[in-house]
Amino acid sequence: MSHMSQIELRVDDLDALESAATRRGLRLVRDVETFRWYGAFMGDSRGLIDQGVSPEDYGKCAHKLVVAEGAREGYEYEIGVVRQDDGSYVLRFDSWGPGAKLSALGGGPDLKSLKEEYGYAVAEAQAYADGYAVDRIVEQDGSLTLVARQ
Amino acid sequence: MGKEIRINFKGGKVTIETNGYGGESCKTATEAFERKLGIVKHDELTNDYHHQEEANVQQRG
Repeated sequence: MSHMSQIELRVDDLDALESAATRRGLRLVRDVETFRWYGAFMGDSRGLIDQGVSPEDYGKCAHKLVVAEGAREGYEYEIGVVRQDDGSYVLRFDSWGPGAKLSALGGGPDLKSLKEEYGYAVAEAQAYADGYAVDRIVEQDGSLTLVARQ
Repeated sequence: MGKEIRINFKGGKVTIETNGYGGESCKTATEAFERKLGIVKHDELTNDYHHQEEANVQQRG
C-alpha cells in the first residue's frame, strides 16, 4: 500500500528546517535526488495526483529528512524536501506502513510538531538577528511559544 | 515594563502577541517576524495600542 502525503508547510529556510528536524530526532540530508518510500504507486489512493504531482515523481526530492543515527530501526521511510517552482520547499512522505512511525515522530500525519519546530526556528533566528533575548516555552497543550524580550 | 513579543506555534497556526509596545510601534516590532513566517495578517489591537494612542492624542491636544 502506498499513500504519499504532502504537508501544508512552506519551507523557505533550510537552516531552520535543519534545526527543527534535529529537535524531532531527524536529520536534514542536503542535495540528494530521492527519498525512501514504498517505491511504487499502487493506485490505492489519490495520493498527490489531484495536486498535479505525477506518481513518477513521488520519491524525488532536493533534500531529505532521515531519522537520526542510533534510532533507525523501524524507520525505513524518509521525508522528501521537494523544491517548488518559486524556490520554496514542501515536505512529502509515504504515511502508510513504516511511514506511520515516521509521522508519529513528526507529531502526526500532518507533521504538526515538526511544523511548530520549524516556525519556532525561523522566529528564533529572526529574534537573535534583531538583538532580542529569547525564551522557549512548551505550553500545556504541547504548542510552542517563543518569548522575545528587549 | 520591558518590551516583549510572544509567538505561539500550534500546528499550522501562529499567534503573535506584544506587550509593552504602544501604538504603531507594536506593528513595526512584529513586521519582520510576520514576513519571515509568511503570516497573513489579522490584527486584534490590545489595550497597549489604545492606551498609547490616547496618550498621543492628549500630548497633541
